Amino acid sequence: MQVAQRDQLRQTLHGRRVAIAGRWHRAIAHTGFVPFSFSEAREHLLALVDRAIDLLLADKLDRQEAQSLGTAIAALYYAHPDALSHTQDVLARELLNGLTPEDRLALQPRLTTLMSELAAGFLDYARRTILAEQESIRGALLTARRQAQDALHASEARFRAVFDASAIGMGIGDMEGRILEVNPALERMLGYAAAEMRRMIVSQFMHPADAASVWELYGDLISGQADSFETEKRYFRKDGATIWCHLTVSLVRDAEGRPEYQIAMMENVTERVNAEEALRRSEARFRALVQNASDVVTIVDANGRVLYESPALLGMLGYSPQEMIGTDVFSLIHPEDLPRIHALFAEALARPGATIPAEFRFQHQDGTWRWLEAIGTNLIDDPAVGGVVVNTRDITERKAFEARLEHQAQHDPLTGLPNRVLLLDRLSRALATAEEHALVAVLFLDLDGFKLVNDSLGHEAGDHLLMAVGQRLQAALPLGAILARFGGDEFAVLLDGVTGANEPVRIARDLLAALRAPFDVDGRETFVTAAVGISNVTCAPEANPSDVIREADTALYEAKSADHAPIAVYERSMRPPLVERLERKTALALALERGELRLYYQPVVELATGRVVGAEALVRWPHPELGVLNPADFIGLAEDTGLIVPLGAWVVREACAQASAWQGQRDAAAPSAVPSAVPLISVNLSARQLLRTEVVTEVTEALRTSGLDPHALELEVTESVAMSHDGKTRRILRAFHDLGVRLAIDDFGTGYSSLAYLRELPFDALKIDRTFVGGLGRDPGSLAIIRATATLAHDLGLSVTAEGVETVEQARTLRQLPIDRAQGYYFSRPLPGADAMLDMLAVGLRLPGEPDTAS
Amino acid sequence: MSSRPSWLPEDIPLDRPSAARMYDYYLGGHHNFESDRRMAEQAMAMWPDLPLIMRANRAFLRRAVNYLIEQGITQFLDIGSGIPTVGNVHEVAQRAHREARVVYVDIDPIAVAHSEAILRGTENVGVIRADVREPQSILDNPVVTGLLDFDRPVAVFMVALLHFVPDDETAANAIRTIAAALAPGSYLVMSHASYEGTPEKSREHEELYRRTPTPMKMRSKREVEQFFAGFDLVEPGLVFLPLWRPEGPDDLFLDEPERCTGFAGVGRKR
Repeated sequence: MQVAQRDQLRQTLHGRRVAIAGRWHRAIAHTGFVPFSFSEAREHLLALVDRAIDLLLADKLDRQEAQSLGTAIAALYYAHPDALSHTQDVLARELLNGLTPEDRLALQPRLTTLMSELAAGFLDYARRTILAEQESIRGALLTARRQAQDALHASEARFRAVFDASAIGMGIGDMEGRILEVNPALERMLGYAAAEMRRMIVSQFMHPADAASVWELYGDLISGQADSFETEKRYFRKDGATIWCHLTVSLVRDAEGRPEYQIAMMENVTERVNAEEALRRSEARFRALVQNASDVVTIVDANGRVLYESPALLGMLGYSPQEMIGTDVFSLIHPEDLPRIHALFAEALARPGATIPAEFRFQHQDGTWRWLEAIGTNLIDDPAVGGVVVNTRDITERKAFEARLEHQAQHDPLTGLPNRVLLLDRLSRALATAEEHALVAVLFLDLDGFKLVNDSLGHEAGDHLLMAVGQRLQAALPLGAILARFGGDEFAVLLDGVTGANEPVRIARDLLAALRAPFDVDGRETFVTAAVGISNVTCAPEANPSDVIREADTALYEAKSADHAPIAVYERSMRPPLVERLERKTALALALERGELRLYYQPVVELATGRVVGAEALVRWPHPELGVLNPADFIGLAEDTGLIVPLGAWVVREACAQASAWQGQRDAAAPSAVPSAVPLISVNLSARQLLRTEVVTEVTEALRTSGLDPHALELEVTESVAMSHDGKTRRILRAFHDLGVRLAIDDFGTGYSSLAYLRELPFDALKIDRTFVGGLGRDPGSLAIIRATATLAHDLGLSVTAEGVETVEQARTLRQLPIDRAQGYYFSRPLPGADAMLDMLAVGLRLPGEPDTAS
Repeated sequence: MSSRPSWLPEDIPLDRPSAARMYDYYLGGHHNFESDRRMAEQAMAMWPDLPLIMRANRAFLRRAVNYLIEQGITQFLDIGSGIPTVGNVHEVAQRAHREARVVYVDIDPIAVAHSEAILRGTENVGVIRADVREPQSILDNPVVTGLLDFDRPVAVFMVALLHFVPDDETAANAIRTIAAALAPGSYLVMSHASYEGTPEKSREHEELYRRTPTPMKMRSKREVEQFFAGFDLVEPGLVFLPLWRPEGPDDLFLDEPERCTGFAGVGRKR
């Protein structure tokens, strides 16, 4: 190629250098490692384009230069393989672009060689770069590792220094608890050499007093559930001494997170723990003092010498703490109490820590005796106390109150005299303690006609009379005799140390003489006579106080008999009152047998209509001497003696027969008057009757014999019977129900009732006790109770009867509540004859009062 | 949390890929190991744009340095500097100001070791190993306090860094702590990966990085903006990487900036 031709070509290519660089840049811009800005890149590439043009047009291709051109490209960090191929593409195209075909033909071989040399240079540089960079990064890795290693050694050295020099005991163990390494501080702390401890395992350092939680925490650590724990525990040193350590155990895990080592750090805190313990004890003592500020706190030494008194002493006993300190605490205790207190103090000394209560009298600074309650605790062994701590409070008032209570329990509130309890107590003591063959006497005294005073002048007057009698009797008795009131108008005297059999009689005479003068009872002159029974007893171990009392009672009974002197001394021949009862029983049995008992009938009125709808049968005993007796007078006797059984059976038979008769007679007389009303006959059954299953047969038999409709019979039982848990009673009540007989609860509200039985047993009716009816108009509670009872009964499907209605107001109130039925003097007394009842029932007679018109 | 005693040194894990060396590989470097390359190839198979995105990020770094030099900044603290190659902050900065001072910070011991090797003999440039999650340790490091004067403005770079701090409070605390040490007129330079743009790929990418010692958390634009509390964002604010003060029509992704799926911004301390 000619020089001129070259110059021309150079000129042409030079004119296009900017365009070539631009295209080149676009082709490789995003292959570079370092993103140059556009201007930076164009500058670099323009220079390279110039070098390429020079190489292309040189006489001889400088291969070295061609290769370094490739190197330069790669050195610009266009190091990506794409950068080379894109460069070759662009340069091969652009450097020949716009040339004549001849020129192209001439330059093509040169260009091809140029490109391959350029590629060689590029690749060589790239290879060297790769190697250099890989080498450099591996070098960096080695450096980093070496640095890490150095850091490890440094920290190991630091750790070792800390480990050896630390004042804190440290130990390293494996996960089986084998001790691998301990530091000198731990050797000193536990008294073992490191070599000894390396043969030990962690669990050898358990202490019997360790809390279970400590070894649970350790278990959690060993199992990897926890990474560390802290606690305080005791350790035995090799020499056997116990020390307290604050312990921290940490877990070291391997690279996979598995527990690998355990590290224990221990600090001896024995002194601190001991100090805390001492502090705690002295605090406890202080707290006790403060909390019991109202009590007196005394600390005494083992000899009873006062070491400390709290300030409350002055207020309680009048002494200042200063004057008491150093004195003998026993010197002011009541001599009677002293032996007991000495014994208790000795017991306290023998039992350190024990708490011992005591009550005793102590002399107040003003000279009076005070009852004190004290609790002593032996803390002599406690270095914070060094004595017996006694907490004391004044219980003088409580003692007085207790004495009052005891007095009340043993005394009659009206007269202030001892009561039966106290007299019996003294009698027992007298019998037990008196010398053999000594004499004791009991006198029973009973006023004559006291009931008359009570009835004519009133209870209050009766009470005043009794008080006056008590005073005169007391005054007439010798010193040492004990006068008691046994209740009612009955007094008793205990004479201890009687000198002879005559003495009690003489004293009895004195007593009667003392009553002879008239009494002024509320302004009235009243005369009183009395009888006295005397029991003399010779003291012997087998003597029984109740025998003595019974004998005196028998003697009194004898003395009260009309034909006897007012004073009787017990003799064996005397009949005791029990015999009297036997006689009464015989009389009742005879009356029953002879058919002398009578049934009275009290009408029962339906309040809504005022019509008589039934009657309650009530038994009467017309006694030849005592007049007509009410059930209250003899049913008790009948029950006690068993007579209630035939008596009850007779009442049921009689009542059923009577009711059946009424029914027939009424139906015959006025068949259309009240066709639906079946008159109801009510009969009382006692608890005793209901213990015998035969009663069911008896009732069945009575119904059968009389032909009475069972629905017309109502059996009344008391609340206590209704509540009975006796299976037999319950079965009997159910049997009655099954017969068709109605069941009613009598005197409802007088017992303590569980209302549950109303549900459990088949009752049809309940009768509200007369005391509630009597309270109507006087006490609002009665009305409330009646209303509540009625509501409850009605809700349970029971009808309600009120007993003891005496006034029109009561009748009206009850009707409005409403109560279904009622009976009482307001309507009618119990009627002796069957005829009057028949009249009422036959015509459906309305009784006076309520209501005038049945609507 | 394991309570590893502090006197036990940590190991240098070779078998786990590192973000710094993967970044180098994306850029075409060879400062990386087999594990890094395998992981990076996996990521690129999922998301072929990754190398270009890295380059766009690198380009942002360069543009930001140039901008700050124009603003008269001569002190630079580059946290998360990675494997240093040509075109690093100190090269750009010291070309403009011979006296410019630069401290590189990275958590990767190999990156730090390599940086030390490369920078040996270079004036006014230091490199330390530290964790941005313990920002006070950076501020207290004697290399930092020896080279940088915090009474004068300092430019702090957290380029492609905080998406490797998943805990929001820890990331915010890092900025707060460092910002508190800065004089008014200092700058915070930040780029941060975001799922805004290419949400699906971002999720997969997050998943992949979970396997590295530096797991990744993409954040929303709003969340990244909040990192600039106490700083005034300079124009054009927080934008997709290529849109931050582009230089010319040949810049990457200018026509589809959201492909970069990361935001960039520069804030000036009030």
